[in-house]
Amino acid sequence: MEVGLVPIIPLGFAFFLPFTAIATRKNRKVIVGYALVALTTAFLASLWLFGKAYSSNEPLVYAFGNWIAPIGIVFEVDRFSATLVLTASLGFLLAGIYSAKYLSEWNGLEFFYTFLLGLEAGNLGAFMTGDAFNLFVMFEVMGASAYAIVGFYRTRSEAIEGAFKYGISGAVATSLYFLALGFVYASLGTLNMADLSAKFHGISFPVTTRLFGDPTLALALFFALTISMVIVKSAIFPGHYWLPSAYSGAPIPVGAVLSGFIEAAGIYVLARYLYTLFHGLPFGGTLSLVFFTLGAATAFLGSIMMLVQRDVKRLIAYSTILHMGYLFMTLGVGTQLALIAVDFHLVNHAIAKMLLFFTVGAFIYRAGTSRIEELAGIGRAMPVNAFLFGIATLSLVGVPPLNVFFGKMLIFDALMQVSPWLASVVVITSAIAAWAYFKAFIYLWRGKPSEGHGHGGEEKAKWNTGEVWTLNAVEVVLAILVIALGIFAPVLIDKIFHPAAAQAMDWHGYIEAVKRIAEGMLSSH
Amino acid sequence: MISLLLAYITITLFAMVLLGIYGVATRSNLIKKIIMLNVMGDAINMLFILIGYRLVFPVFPPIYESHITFEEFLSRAVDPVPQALVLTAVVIGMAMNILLTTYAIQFYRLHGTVDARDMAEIVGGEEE
Repeated sequence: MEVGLVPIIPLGFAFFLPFTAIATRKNRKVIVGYALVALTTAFLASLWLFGKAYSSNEPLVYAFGNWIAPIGIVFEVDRFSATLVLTASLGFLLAGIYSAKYLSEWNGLEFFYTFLLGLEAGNLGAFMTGDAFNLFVMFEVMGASAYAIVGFYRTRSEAIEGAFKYGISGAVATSLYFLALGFVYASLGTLNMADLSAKFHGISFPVTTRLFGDPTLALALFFALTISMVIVKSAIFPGHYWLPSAYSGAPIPVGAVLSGFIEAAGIYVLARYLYTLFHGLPFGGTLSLVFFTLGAATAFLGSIMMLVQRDVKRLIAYSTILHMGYLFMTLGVGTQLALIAVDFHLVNHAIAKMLLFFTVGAFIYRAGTSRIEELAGIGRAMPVNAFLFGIATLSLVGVPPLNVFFGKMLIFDALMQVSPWLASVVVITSAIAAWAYFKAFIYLWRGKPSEGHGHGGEEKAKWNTGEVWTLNAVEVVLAILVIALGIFAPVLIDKIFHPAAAQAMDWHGYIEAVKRIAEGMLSSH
Repeated sequence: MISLLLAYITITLFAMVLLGIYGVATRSNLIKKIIMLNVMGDAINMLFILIGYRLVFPVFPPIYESHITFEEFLSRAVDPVPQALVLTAVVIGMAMNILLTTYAIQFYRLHGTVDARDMAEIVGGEEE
């Protein structure tokens, strides 16, 4: 087994899924079985990768076609990547199981799973790659699958609108990243991450060109354009406009993976560039200011917009914007604690947010609507689901024994290193979000008293009342993870996330891992 | 003279990138948005080709032949990497065009319009 195979597994399975569907005359069971085998294989491969990354002392390097950097494309996986790869592949597996039930009345399941696998391939590839241009390709693989899968309900105009908005914004954003690569290639003469870092730190690297022009100016332009890409892709304040429409149009499991992992990829990219490759930038202070301002603005916008939403999907969408704001803010701190906080919060937020999406999805599955007024009182008909919904909201607000609390605590600590004012943003916005969740929960549990009991009664009679046990099973797995990650948080931070951040900030080791293989390969020929 | 021409081309291409973003943001017709996205993408692709270009005559293709000295090859051969990158970006751009055009066509089939303002009105109306 090779490291580079991990994202190839879902990609290969995705490629053959439409043919399998045609060959079996769109047999639903075959399609679902095929997709679940693919997702499980990818998850097992990620588990193997995780073990390997933690048993090795330096980043794992895989050279495609044995063309070592800077000539060929390499994958370079350190522990920071491995934590995210493992979480993402687990999340995609659970989303795949959930979709089998959730979309059981819809046609076109083969294409849904094709794009879900494509999404996973792009996502894992983006976390694993060691090449700046390959990252662009992985973002486009991820993007194209995401734009397609968001428009899965192709007869609903809101899905088409969301997908088009997302598609055109995402395409402009990734084009800007491509332009950024132009600047950095013109000046530093390479696109390999280890080589870029070596050039920046003045370390010699085999087979590479001299610097051209002013590298600081090129890096400044590179960061300006990369940040504008991430602002759109990860829904940070001026670029967040597409997210609520895309999420309210998309099927629930898609929203879950988009929120947990696709948005996370943007944050990961910035963390990789700022903390590993170009640590100690001459204009780092200015960048920090950008991160703090936009991140705080995003957090306030997300939390305040949560209060006025009347659609559950949009409520969760703004909650995602809120958490992306926290992460973006924390990126600006620049210390190891900040990177631990980012890594841990990415994992925790993904799991808790998936649970929230899935519980809400079960309500929508029964009621056929996502409007809070029309869902009023459904919680009592589905008490187990409502209980799990409660766990998810409590976790996301940051109640101590649950997992997101520890992520938020680390973020708070990291921001305290800069200023108590910044740290207070986390507390204030969490309180506003708590109020919004509380309002939603009250609606779902009790119903709205002012809107007529007779009408509400009819609505209730319309529902096929009762729990959806298949969906609940997936939710229970996530709920156990939410509680376990919370209870074992101190151990996990010590054993997994601290080493991950330490290795990610060790740029010397990151360069050496590729350099040694490159030199070894050159001397053997 | 030739460097003036090169500067003119570069500035034009950057202006086209900005124009593309402006167009995507302000045009309300979905098809025009897609066209402006392509204007932007192609301008970026042209910039990449310019990075690899050499201001010498004659320019060699990036294939090493034994009758040329290595030094001469280095100074006269075109850098093949930007071309490879552009080739990848062009393919990706095509996929994106097909996807976005499909959505525009699908919206036209559903509501008989490709105007973003109508789109916002229709979707907003359904939500109310």
